[in-house]
This record gives sequence, C-alpha cells and structure tokens, in this order.
Amino acid sequence: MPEIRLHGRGGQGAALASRLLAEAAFIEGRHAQSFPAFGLERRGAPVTAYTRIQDTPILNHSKIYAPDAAVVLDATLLKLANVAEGLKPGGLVVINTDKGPGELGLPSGLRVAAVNAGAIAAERGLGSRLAPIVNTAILGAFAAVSGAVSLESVLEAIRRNVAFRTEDNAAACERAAIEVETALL
Amino acid sequence: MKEVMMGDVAVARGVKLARVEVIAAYPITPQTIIVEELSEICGRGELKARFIKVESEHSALACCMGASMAGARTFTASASQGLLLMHEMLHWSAGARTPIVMANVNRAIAPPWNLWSDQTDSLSQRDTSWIQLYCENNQEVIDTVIQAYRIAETVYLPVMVVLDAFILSHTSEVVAVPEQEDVDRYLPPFKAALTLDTNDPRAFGSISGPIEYQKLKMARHEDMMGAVEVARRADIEFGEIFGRKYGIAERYRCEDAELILLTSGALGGTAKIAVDALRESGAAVGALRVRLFRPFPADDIADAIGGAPKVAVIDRNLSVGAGGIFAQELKAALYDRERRPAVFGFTGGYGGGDFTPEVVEKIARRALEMDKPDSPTLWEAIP
Amino acid sequence: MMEHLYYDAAAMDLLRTTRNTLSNRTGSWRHMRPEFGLKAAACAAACPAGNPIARFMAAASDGRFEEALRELKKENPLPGVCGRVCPRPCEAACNRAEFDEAVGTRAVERLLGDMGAEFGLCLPATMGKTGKRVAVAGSGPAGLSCAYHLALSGHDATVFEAGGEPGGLLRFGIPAYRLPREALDRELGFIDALGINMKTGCRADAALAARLLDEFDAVVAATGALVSPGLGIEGEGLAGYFKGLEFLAAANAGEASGIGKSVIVIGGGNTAVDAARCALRLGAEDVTVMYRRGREDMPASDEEVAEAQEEGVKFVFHAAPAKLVGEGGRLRGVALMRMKPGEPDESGRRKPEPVAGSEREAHADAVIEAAGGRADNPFGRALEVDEWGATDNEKLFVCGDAAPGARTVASAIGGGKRAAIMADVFLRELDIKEVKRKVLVGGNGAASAAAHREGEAAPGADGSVVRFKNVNTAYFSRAARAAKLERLSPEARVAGFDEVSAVCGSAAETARAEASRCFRCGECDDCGNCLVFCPDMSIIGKAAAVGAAPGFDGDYCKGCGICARECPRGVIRMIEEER
Repeated sequence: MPEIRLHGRGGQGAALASRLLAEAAFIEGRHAQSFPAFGLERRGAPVTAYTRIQDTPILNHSKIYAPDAAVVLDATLLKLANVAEGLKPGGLVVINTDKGPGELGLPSGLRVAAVNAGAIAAERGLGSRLAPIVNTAILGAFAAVSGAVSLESVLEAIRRNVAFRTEDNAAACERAAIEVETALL
Repeated sequence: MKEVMMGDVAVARGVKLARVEVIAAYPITPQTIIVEELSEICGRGELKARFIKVESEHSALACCMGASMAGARTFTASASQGLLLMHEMLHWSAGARTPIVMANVNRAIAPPWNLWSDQTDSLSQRDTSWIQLYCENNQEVIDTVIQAYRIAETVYLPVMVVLDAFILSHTSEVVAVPEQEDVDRYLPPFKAALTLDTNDPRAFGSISGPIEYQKLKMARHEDMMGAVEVARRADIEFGEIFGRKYGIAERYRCEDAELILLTSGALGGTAKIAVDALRESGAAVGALRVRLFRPFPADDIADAIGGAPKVAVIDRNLSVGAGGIFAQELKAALYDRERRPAVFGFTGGYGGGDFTPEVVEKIARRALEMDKPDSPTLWEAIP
Repeated sequence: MMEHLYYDAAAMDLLRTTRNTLSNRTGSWRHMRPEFGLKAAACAAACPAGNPIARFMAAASDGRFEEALRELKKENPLPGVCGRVCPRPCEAACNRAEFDEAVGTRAVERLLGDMGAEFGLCLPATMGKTGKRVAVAGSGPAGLSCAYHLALSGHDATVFEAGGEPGGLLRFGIPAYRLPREALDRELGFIDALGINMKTGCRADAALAARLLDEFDAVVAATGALVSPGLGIEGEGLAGYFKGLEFLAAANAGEASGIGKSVIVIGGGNTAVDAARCALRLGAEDVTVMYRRGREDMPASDEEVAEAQEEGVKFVFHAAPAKLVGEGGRLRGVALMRMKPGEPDESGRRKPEPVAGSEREAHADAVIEAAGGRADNPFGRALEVDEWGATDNEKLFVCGDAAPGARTVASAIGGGKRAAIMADVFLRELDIKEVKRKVLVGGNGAASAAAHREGEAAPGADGSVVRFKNVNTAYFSRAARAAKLERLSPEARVAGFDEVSAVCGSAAETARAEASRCFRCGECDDCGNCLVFCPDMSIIGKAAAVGAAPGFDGDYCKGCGICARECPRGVIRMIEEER
C-alpha cells in the first residue's frame, strides 16, 4: 500500500505530480487517490500533496501520516520542512539536488535518492534556469528507484495529461530515471 | 470508460451526462471547479445548456427556479456561505416544486474563515424541503448526480447532492464514467408537470389562505416521505443498468453487531476499514452509512441496526446547543420503536479535522467500553 | 418505472391560480399609458440640417458604415461638408455631455461622408417621376439641398448657377484648408446621379427670374446674401481695399495676389476670419481682424478663431474704421476709433458706440471688409418670406441666406430641404397643415425629408424631445471621446491651402468607437428592456425594422410606467389615458 508525500513550493507543480502518479497507477490497472494538502496555496510557500496507490478499491479518505516515500521537488525545503517526518522505517526520500544522497544530512535508516532534476528540466526548457519545473523529471527518478509505478506508466501519464511541452517533459522524466543516484543511509 | 478525476469534476461530468439545459451558479471554494468545468463543457459545445452568470447564489437558485418552471432541467452548485445566502430560495424552489439538482460541497461556516469539510452548511437546510444525498467517493458523486434528476423529476422536489470539501471535491480518484446512451435510457428528458405557458398564463406563488397553505405543505410532506421509496427504486434501477448501487442506507458487516458505527459522506469508507480491524480483533462492530438524509429513511435505518444494543454516530457537524445532527435524527427515528439501542453521539472532524481509521476505531472502543453515553455529545479528534 | 404519480398532483395545482390570468384584464386600472415611438434626440432637434443622428450612429456603432451613410443621405446630401464646417449645435445639445462628454457627432459625420469614396454616394431611393419641373436659382448649400430633395421626390430639378461650377458659397466662400475641393466635388456627384440639370454661368437676374416663374411649375430662390454693403466710409475707392466675399472668391479660385505685407480685416464673422487666414496664406505677414464689438459677441466659430490665432492672426476688439487713408490712390492705412458697448440692440448685444477723441491711424497695405452680405433677391427685394420659405406667390419659395434665419451651411441645407418639401406640397396638392404638423424633427427643429417622402411623422414631430433626464444612464458606461482632431502645425498650414484638420486614428475604428458612445436617444434598438421589466407581459410587437418600436396590449397594461423608466433611451413616455 504505497503512500507517497510530495513536497514542493506553490507553483512548482507538486499537486500535478501527485495526480500524475495516480494516473500512472491507474494506467497499470490499479486504484489510486491523489490529493493536495488542503490549504491556502500561495506561490512559493511550502506545499505538500499526496498519492495513495493500491490494488484494491481505496476506502480510506483520511490524510497520509506515515508515507512510504517522500518526493522533494526543491532541496531548499529541507531547511523549512521535515521531509522525513512520519516516514516508515526504510522509507524512501527522492530529492532534487545537485549534491550526492549522503551529503544532505537526512537521518539514517532511510533510502535516499538524489537527482539533479533542476538541471535536467532546465536543459529541456521546462521553466527557467533559475526556476525550473521539475515535477515530471523527479517522477522519473521516483519510478526508477521506488518500483511503486513503472517508468512507462509515468511517461504515459505525462503524455495523456501534460498538454504543454509534452515530449520535453517525457524526455526529462526518462533522463532523471537514468541519472538518479541512490544510497542507503 | 474509467478516468481519474476530482469530485468536483465528477459532479460536472454527471451534469453533462444528465443533459442539463440551464446552469446558473456562483463560484465559491471548494465548489469553484464544478462551475469552471461546466462553463468549459458548455463553452466547448459538449453540453447544449444555457450557462447563466449570476451576481449571487440567491440569484443562481432564483434563475434555476424560473428555468425549471419553464420546463428546463436545471443545475446549480454551492457551498458554505453561498448555500446560506441561497436559504430563502431553497424554501421557495422546493415549495414551488421545481425539481432542481444542486451539488453542495460541505464546507465549514465562518467565523473563523475555514475552507474545510463540515456538514453544518447542508444539514442546517434540512427543513427546506430539499432531498439530500451524501456521497462516499467520487464514483458515487457522478452516479448520484444522475440518480438525483431521476428522483427530483419523479417527486417534484429539488435534490441536493452533497460531497465533502477537499476530501472528495479536490481528491482525484478512479471513476467509471457512465455511457451517455445508458444515462439516456435511465433518465428520460424532463417533462415538467406544471409549467409556465404563455398561451395559458397562470399566476404562480400568489397568496393563499390557511387551508390551501396547509394542504400544500402537507402534500409536500407526504410526497417527501414517498421520496424514500422513489430514491430506493432509483438506485436499484441504476444498478440494473450500470452495475453499481449504493442503497439509501448502506450496511457493512452489521450482522450480529454489538455496536454499529453510523456515518455519512466520505467518512463511510474510512469507517469500513476500522470495522475490518475491529472485527479482526474480535469486536462485533458494523458500519451503517446514511446516504439519504432527507427524507430520513427511519425504517431502513432501524432495520439495519436490528438488535444491536449500541449505535455510535459520528457526526462531521455540530448543531450548537443540540449536538450532532445525525445523532438527533437517529434518536428521533428510534424513539417510537421497540428496540431502542444506546446512541453515542460523537462529533468531530469538521473544519479540516481528520478521521483516520485509527480514530474511528478509538471511537468504537470508547462506545464499547461504556454502558451508555456519559454525555449526549462526545468529541474525538486526532491528538 | 413510474406508472403512477409520485406526487400529489391535486395539491400541486394549488401552486397556481385556477383561472387563466388572461381573465384579469388589468388594463382597466390604467389611467396612464405608455406611448411608444420615435422621439427626437436633443441633438437631432438642434441640428439645422435635420440629420438623423441616432439612426446613423446605430448603424455606425455596429460597423455598418454604408448603411449609416445611406441613412445620413436621406436627409443631408453633404455630410462630408457639414462634417467639416458645421459649428456643431448637435454636440452642444448632446445629452451625453451631462454624463461624461458630448459625442463627437461632427467627426463621425465627416468620417462617414468621406467613406463615400469607398461606398459611392449611397443615395436614397427616388420616388416615381411626377413630370413637374422646378427651377432652383443658386447652387450653394441651400439650392443644392433643395434640388436634391426635389429630385428624390420625383421632380425634375434645374439649377441655375452664376459661376462656372456648382457649389456657390461652398466653393467660393469656404477656403480649401477648411473644405478640400475633392470632398466637395465627391458629394456634388449626386447632381449627375440624380439627373439634376445644372446650368452654370446663368446668373439669375430679374429677367431670368421672370422667365423661370413663367416656364417652371415651381421656382426656388436660393441666391444667397452676397451683396456687400461696404463700410460706408471715406476711401473705399482706394487700391488695396477689398470686399470680403470677392477677396475670398479670388483667393479660393487661386486668382488673388498682391495683398501686401500688412492686412486689416474688418468684421467678426467666419468670413472675416477666413479672409484673414487666406491673406496669411497669400503672403501677408501681419494680419489683424478688427471687430467693433467684444470677443464674446463675435459670431465666428471659436474653433476657427483659435486656429487663426495659432497661425498668427491678431484680433483687435472694440475698434472700427472711421476712414481709409491713402496716398496717390493707394491705401496706406485706416483711421480707427475705439468703440464702447452701449445700450442693447434688437439682437440682445450691446450696440457699439464710438469713444470720442479715440481716433488713431493704423498702417495697412490692404483692408478687407467682411461685415456680412445682404440678400439681393432677383425675385423681389421686398419679398415676404415665411419660416417655411413660402411667399405670397404660391409657386415661389425662398431658402438659404436669401431667406431670414441663421447663416450656416447646415441651416442652408435645412432651409433648402424645407423649401423642397413646400414645393412638393404645392406640386402634389398635399394637405399643407398635415405636412407641417408631421415633418419637423422634435416639432420645432429642421424638417425631415425622409419622413415627408415616406408619409410618416418625423421623430418627435409632436414635440417630444429626449432630454438627459429621459435617458436611463444605468444602462451606459462612461467612455472618453474616441474621435479627436489633429491639426497641421501653424507653419505648415500657412504655407498653402492644405486641409488643416484630420480625424485621428483609423476611420473605421474611430467612427465605430465614437458612434458607440451615442446614447441613441429616442431610437428603439429592440433591447427588450420594456418586455423584460413589464410586470403584466403587455409589451407586444417587436421592432421589425430599424427604429420601429414595440407597442402595448391595452387589455393588460395597467400603466405602471416601468417600461418608460427602464427604457435606456427615452423611446417610451407615459401620457394621460384618453377619457
């Protein structure tokens, strides 16, 4: 029963990423639920979004407190939010950073996957170099290291639901799946 | 065809499938997506409906009333403060017997400002003669919108389809979208019983004496009571065509239960998980989800409770000075019956509060431990 | 599934009245009733030419410019001329002025007139030929307007013009920098298009006048007021002394020269200002307009005075010439007297009186007298002319400056039209009282030839004029004037006779935007407000044609007046019910 929490800043596309994950699971014939943290979204402020994936119909309509994975769209959030909060033991953190997975100061007992999704997205012209839109790229890394959904399903979800620069988003997603680097802390 | 969609989108898609002819609505969080989605559907020409922009919720419902009396199938949507502003027109539209369907996204009422789920907005409209249906998930949302027109146009009373703010309205789930031809088979075009006819003009809403007034109101009451059966049959026939049905009060593992958890809305699903866990641990607990709130299906609920000695009602609402509203309704429905279980009135989860399966389990265990409630209103929240 | 009713149908029937509400004839309660129908807009009532302003604005606001021009041409053959030289009484009367800013009606008229270059003349349909022959003496704006409307009414019109080309004052009296010749000539194209006989080089002297009265079924005198009275002072024989209209005619024909360096123009009307501005364009360096009264009494248009000042013309007020001073038969200057305002005269203005001992001499190479012309009607100097242009001779009509009244191009056009209608009434033996009762816009303004031709009443012929208080401004939003004029630099202007002003922006966009500002007072545009607001659903009929208004169902209208209040443009008014 993978439950995933995504951390981003208002405007970075964390909510869309959580929906794309749900779409990817749906493409695989599974059940999925995606919801934003129901707040007063403001551009730039830390936001979270959630995805629940399972093989049976989802009856639970409560929030997610102990996710299996956290996906962090922006490494600067590490200073503002405890991205490891509530993570199950051995849980996965996928993070957009130019550092290595061991250099982030995350607590031990976690699996940390690092990928420079910002550089990959910027290379594909997604957002600007200073403020790249990394939501599709980081999903590629997440799919590659989590096994929660396949990379193919994520790519299909992007192609079905992302109308703007679809192929650049898909290419960034694929690229991040290759470049992601994992470490067990 | 299945799709992943938010609850608000499911409402709009249901409206489209119902071939609604006039839409008048005023946007308010968290209902806004319904209005946006419908305006785009109309804008793209996928639904040949007149989309009327209005200056307030009061006007929205007034527009729907006029359109309905002219013979059009109509829709509006609101939430919270917007629904409260409609209040006068809620009475009017029901009194005028216009079969309007409205989606209300349950949202807390200010002050303080709060955008999250709370049923007090719709429940405080319980005396307006509107039929009310509460949904557990987005599949049920789209299906209930379609059923609502069938019910409304059979009994000539308006129907409110209710869904939780964010928990359903903004949550994406897998939804099987009904086929248009099936919906057309289920829901024939609206033929109004009473219409405005310029060739035979009559005055509507004129003043009446006490006898006529009481006759009308009693007739409305009788017709409303009859709506229990109409809603039940509308759901059964829906099931025959679409393979999905919900009942008007949905039972879950109620057989031989010592305690029944009575819920409504999206909490219904979460309660089922708690029931499974409790049964696993050996506690005889069942769940009963009230889908039809008005008219209150007292017989169905009493029948579902059967001989269970205890019922714990979990109310995501609070009638200040009286307690949870479902609990009150249940108590009133059981008073005249031979089997009167102890009713534990729990309230909580409004204004953004969450009910996890664990919290529901905790509620059940509290009820199981007590012989009778130590207070008419009990509160439970995530610590 | 629903084999039987799931609701109490009998009770539901109590929701409405058992009887059809048609049985309740609320019309019997009425003591007031709405009166629908075209009203005159304040601007139209003020327009001496009777332009159907609201009508052409409606079409122009919708981008239907050809239709707009056609509407305009039903009343006025010379929109491109009026759109340039008119002093804009319409804009002074515009109801919108009280809301934000008057509509730039003259600019729209000018743009529409100039669109004739694209759409052609856009002439209205002519009536069947009557076989009646009408002579018109003079081809100034009054004569042209008269011949035009006579031709539209099916009469054979023959115009006698003393000059070599038609146009009269428009050609010799208004300089090209105000009215370019191509704009004038384009609009004069109607003469050929309507088959009007134009006899140029035929001065209507007393002999010709007698012949015309003898040979034609009706005769119209539009011979202007061209006789200069002169200054009546010593020295008028000196070389360097000019009469204003003659000077203008020579200047406009390109035949004037030798005006000298310093010029004094005597007078305060548009002729004086035009003469001064022409003198500048002919090489004069120091030009002064001298007027015996004050600035406030000056009849010349403010716009013209302002333009002249920009170009360097000086104005001296309260001064009059006592005599012209010369040397060897050649003008040297003017002996001036200062004047002071005395007692009010019959015009209400204070009569100027000389100040004793104030004489002094001013140098001038030329003096142009432009004190205003006098009519010298070849059909009789002492002819009595009524306000309709009729005389004691039932077949003789007079219009333009030859008749009493205001002396503007627009009033000449209106006068010509009125004379044409009167001639038509005479030739067809129509009921003159009936016609007079029906054709005046707003009951007191210019005549509507279109209404006369179609046998209908002119807008507001019963005296109903839509004023600002009749406009429901809730239905309009504020908008700044879209049509603005741009002008050549003063240096570029005096270098030649190029047109001074132009309307800014693209013609189509500007015309449309400015026309959209028009309230279209008194003109039903089928907005449906009366229908929507009527509590008794007693508005009936639809505006089938442009300007047609709905009516009411007397059985049910209870005379509440809501329709009149909600009509944005004052088409409906409440009147007392007939008893």
